[in-house]
Amino acid sequence: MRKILFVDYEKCTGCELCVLYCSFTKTEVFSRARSRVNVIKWEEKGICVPEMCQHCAEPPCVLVCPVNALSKDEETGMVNMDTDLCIGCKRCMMVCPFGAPAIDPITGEVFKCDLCGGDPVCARVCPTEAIQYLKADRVGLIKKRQGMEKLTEAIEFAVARTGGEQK
Amino acid sequence: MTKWYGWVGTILNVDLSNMKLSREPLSQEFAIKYIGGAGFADRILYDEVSPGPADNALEPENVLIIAPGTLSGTTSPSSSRYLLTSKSPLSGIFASSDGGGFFGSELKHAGYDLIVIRGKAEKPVYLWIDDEHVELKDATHLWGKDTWATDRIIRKEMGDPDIKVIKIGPAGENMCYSAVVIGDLGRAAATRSLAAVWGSKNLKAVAVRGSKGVSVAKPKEFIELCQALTERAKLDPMYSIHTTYGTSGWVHGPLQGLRTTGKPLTAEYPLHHSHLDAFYDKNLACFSCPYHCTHFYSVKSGKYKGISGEGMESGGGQGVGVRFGVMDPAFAFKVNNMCNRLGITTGPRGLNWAWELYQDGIITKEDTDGLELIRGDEEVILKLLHKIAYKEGFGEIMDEPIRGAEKLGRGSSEYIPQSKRAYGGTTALPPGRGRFPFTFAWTLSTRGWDRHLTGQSVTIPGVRDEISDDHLRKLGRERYNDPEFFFQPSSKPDPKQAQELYNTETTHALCAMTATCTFASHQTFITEGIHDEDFVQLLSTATGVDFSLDDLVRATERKTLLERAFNAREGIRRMDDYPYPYYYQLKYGEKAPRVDYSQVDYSIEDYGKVLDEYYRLRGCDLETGIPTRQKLESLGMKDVADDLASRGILSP
Repeated sequence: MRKILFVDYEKCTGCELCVLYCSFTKTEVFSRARSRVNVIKWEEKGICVPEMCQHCAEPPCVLVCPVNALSKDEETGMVNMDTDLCIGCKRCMMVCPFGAPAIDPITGEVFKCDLCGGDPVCARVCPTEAIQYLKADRVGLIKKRQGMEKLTEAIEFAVARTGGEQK
Repeated sequence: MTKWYGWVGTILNVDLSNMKLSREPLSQEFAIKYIGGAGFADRILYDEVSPGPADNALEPENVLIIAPGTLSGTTSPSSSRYLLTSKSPLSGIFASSDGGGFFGSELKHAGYDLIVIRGKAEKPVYLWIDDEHVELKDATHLWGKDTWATDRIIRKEMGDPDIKVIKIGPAGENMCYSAVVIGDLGRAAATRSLAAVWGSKNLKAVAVRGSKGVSVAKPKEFIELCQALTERAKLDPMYSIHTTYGTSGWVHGPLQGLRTTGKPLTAEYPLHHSHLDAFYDKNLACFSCPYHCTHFYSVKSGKYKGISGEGMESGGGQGVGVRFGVMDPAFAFKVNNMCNRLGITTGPRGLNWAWELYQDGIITKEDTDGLELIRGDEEVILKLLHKIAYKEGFGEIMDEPIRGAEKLGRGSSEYIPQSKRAYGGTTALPPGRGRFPFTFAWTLSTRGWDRHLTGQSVTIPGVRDEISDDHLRKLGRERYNDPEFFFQPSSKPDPKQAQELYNTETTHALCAMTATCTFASHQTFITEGIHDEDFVQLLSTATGVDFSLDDLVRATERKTLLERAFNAREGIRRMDDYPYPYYYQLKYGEKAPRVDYSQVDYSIEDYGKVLDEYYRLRGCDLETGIPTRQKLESLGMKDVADDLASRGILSP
């Protein structure tokens, strides 16, 4: 079964521990600029969203890579990058709608999320489970349940009120 | 160039008078001796700011130091704070004030261990730091703007929404004593009026963007330690309260109640944390912090509908309405929002003072610009806060009660409990279990009547179900070989309380050096928080210097004694280490007016015995409270002893 990174931005507190652990795992330096995940924030609206490679079904980066450094693994769903093949042309950065591939300010190399080879550290360290690494079929159910919880609350409220009036 | 671990190796010097900036390499010897953060800042302040009247703090000669900590910018839990250190214009003594958020870590990521700001700019400026690129930029267009607008404009004009900005609002520009420095939307460095120092220097903001990051010496060990500490924190009995409500989960529930009524508050209290849920949209965290103790809030109905922002802490913001009879929780959010933007504290001391004066008929609406200070009037409170920020009319009197009382006369100074030359303490000290440790710690604080940050024991029986009496007995046995230690009646303070204060001060000093939130340390209820031994491991693996616990304890002693020496030069003596009722007695030889001494449940002699013990532990002279030459020399600070001797306050 495929697994995917599932982001529930309503749970994100903006602590950026995912960012620190990501950059450290990949470069041994704590650096926002070298992290594969970033937390995008609109402070005045109280919104923060962890953003990383979505490992698209039809990844534009794979399509434009002139040297086939990027490839889609149909079995795991991962979009992989072979840094040995990469020539640093930045075409992938041009077409990615999420800004997932980025340039390392120290080495000058293009990098992107590789799901830590199947055990993504961002999901492991997130204190609120805003980032989870889940089997693909679970994600839809989680969202459905969240939606239904709100409805259930409303129904309970309504029943309590009307029930009270009838008595 | 040396490769730095933990530290990043550069001090940024800012000369506002000549508009010059310079980068200075950090000395390794200095780093190891003073560790970082508050340790660095205190040494520089001591060396550069000479004694003199409090008003000198607003002269160009005063130095303002902005310091992240040795662990800032890493995964070390809750380590992203920054400290402001300067001479306080309020009290004229040592002052430090710290704020959370994202600034401290960003400054480290930009490559700086410290910013030292000297002089005064001719016109308003802000400091812009983008890694190596540093620049003083014109801030004329920002002067007069509130803190949120300032942040917004700087980010917009630099074209980067990820810039981290700490700034002052109109109150800081007006050099109000109630002014604060604001990071993000509402993370304030509030105490001791340091925002007024910014205003006096024409410094509106410091904006930073860092892409260089922080390296550590032993990556594997360090990261494993961080993960283990984060996991251990989750085992703490208070973890869920802290991560849900933050400080509101206890101070404004049980402790505030304990202070005023002698028993924990119940849900009937309008600002009990259970009433805050309706306003909180989500939890927010500072950088690298697993506790996410703050919130994004919005007011959804009523006359304050539409107000939103970040908060809320216990204390002032939450309490200001209730203290003056406003029972609507929404008002607390209105106050929080307004004060964050004006850049003033949510609980100016002058409010309490003015209300008492009004109640007793010492002032009337002739004095208060026509405002009637009656309970429950929201508009009056909002108007007064506004007046304070703009120093309008009665606002200027209220802004700082001690100076205000000089202008006002009529015995209004009798209503001001003083501690270390600032409004502090209480005119009444109601009895209650565990009261003595609070009073003792707050009074001994080097920055004067500290709410909690220089050290205090808050391990009090009966406050919360989560902290059982059995748990406290276990702690007492572990720490002091005395299961009943935390159950002592406050009427007979035990000299062991001096050791407890010394211990909590050590932990809090380590927090201040590493810019770790005291909320994450093991003292403030959080028994599974970061212990002193954990700091040894964190700092050793981060910096590559093989620190022992003794090395760190000695560094914290340097920090505390530098602060005490700074204060000694300003004339602070033993009597200043007594709480207000006894301080007054010692100073004027008579009892303080308006203090009910029957409510002070320990004698001056018993207090003095604990103080003696504290001085012995700290290495201070029992008669004066000044650090001894012997102690200073044993800590490698002979130069400080010589300096004190040259001023005639220590024997040569």
